[in-house]
Amino acid sequence: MKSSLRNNLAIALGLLVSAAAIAQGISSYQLCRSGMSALLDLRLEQVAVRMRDGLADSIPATPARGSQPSRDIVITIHKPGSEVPLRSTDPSLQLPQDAAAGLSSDDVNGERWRIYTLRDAGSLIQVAQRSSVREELEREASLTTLWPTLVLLPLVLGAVLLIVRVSFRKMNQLGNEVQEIDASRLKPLASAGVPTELQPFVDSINRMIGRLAQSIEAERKFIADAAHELRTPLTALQLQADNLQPHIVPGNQERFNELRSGIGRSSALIAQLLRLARADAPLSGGTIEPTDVSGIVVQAVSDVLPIAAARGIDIGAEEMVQDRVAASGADVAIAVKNLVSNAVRYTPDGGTIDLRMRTEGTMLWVEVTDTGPGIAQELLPRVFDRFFRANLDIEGTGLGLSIVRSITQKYGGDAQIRNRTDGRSGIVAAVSFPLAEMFTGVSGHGAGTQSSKLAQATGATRYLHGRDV
Amino acid sequence: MRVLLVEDDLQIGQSLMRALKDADYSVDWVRDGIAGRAAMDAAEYTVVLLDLGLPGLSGIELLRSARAGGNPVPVLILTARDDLDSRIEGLDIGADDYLLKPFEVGELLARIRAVLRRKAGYAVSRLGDDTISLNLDQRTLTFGEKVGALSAREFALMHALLEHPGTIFSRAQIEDKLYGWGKEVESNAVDVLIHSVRKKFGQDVIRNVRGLGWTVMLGKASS
Repeated sequence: MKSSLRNNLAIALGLLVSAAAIAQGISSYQLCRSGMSALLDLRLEQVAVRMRDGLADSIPATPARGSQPSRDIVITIHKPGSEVPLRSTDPSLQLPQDAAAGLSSDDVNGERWRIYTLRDAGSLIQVAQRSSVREELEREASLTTLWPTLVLLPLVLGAVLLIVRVSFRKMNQLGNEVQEIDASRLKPLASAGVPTELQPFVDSINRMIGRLAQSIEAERKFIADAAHELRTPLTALQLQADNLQPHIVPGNQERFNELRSGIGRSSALIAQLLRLARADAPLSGGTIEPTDVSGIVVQAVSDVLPIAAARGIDIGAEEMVQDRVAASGADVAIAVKNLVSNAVRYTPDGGTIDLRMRTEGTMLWVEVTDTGPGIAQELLPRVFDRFFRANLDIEGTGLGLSIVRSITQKYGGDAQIRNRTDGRSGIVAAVSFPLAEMFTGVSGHGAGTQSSKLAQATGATRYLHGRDV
Repeated sequence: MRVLLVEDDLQIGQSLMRALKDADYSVDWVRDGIAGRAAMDAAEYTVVLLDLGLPGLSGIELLRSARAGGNPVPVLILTARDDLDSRIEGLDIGADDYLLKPFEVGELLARIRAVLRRKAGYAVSRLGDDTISLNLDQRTLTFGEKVGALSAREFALMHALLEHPGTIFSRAQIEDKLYGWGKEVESNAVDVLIHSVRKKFGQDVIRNVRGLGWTVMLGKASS
């Protein structure tokens, strides 16, 4: 079992309180009993003394037999030397006449008796009471002293648990707050009202949050700067090549085109590298607005449609769903477009590409199935590695699927590539994003993703999804 | 036509100067934001090509102050920053278009022409390109060799599709565009309409995208 400060403290305090209560109970029981015993003894003695003072005469010489209650004390008065008592409240009881003066205990007629013996010149006065009666009286009186403890013990135990719980509430609150911290929610912990014992933890966590926020910001800035610094020289190169084009003699046109395609390749590589850096960077706080994925799927198909049409590739959707996901629209679009453009690149002319959307548990999956050559089974585990390219004949940077995986992981989704299992060659590439369940009640117009903001800003009509065709 | 180029990078600036001059634009080139603002205040330009990462005064600030001062000159942002936020910001504060570096000269020139056309407020009397075009005045469609008149519904359909060529429209979207929101439409109305257009101009005039909808693609008359 995990050790818990709260439970340890509650158990220890509970045991301590219980032990104290038990010790107190036992001692008060014992003290009360011995006090009671002394009181009863005193009564025997007082009765004996009164008998000597002449009250004995009021005892009838021949008492009615068996009329005396068992709890009563028995009084016997002898004249010296006489076997038969002068007076007795219970003549059948033969108290030992040789008993020592004062208090003693003795067995008479098979019962234990407590006897007070008073001798003087003219008489032997003995006052006795059954020990069992005395014990019963003592027990009854002593047991009542336990009541306060019995009532108070549960109350004190409850109070202990309550105090422990309240004391640890702040700690639990802090624990919950700390648990919610991640790269996308870098909020310092409030230090007001924090117990001094926890202050060092809060301070240290806050310092780390500050440093993390700084480094995330620094990384974001670096990516933005790198984008600028890498693109600027390429832009110059591209423009210089473009300016050169009218002056290239026809015989050199092919070599010039090779140069331009080289420039294009560098641009593509830099664009992919930056995309990967962005995909790897943690989410930069703020709430993620739910994204309509069907619009993105349609846009991705629109983007490749001219190439697909030119190559006679039949691209279409098998199944569309209208659920939305908790991920940035721009990121979902990059992931889906990567899969679709991969499919177009690897599918031979006249092939087929099917898109399929489906929900599974809390995830929305987008699957792209092509009729390309597929990927050798032993290479499949490596397809998401950076710069890995399964087919070197087809141009690519080897970063597309790394980007896809980084994006899906960032939102808690998944990316999978597998060969088709329906007997045809080709792969099934799939990405998943968590469904934005809590937003399902919002109307479709509320889906203001960043890409749609851009579309609105440029005046382009946003794709408004409708039902399937 | 006079172009103001605000670009701090020497090589890009030189190459752009050459390219724009080759395309018969006269170009003023300044290399920082302060000079850019001075130039925009001093002279009237047909179009401004604006880099965002400028010394002195950033492109965004320059554009904001120009728009605040009521300067309506068309501005085309040229930038290496491709994060969505700066694109949205640039367009929101009044840029007319946004071109991400690196770009090709041909695309820059086309974007300049498009910005100028939009700014001039030409009444668009024609949608499409050489391969497929819709004459908005005469309500005729030209597809390859074929020219023909369209019924009101057919015209509305082709207008919707050609307004955003290459965009895939679902059945529900087309119904909304043709019949208005919330109206009861017969389930095969769109199919009937598409069939009648195809009957006049051939199967390829409207492309079916399996499971998603329909689109019209430019430059596809021959296929």
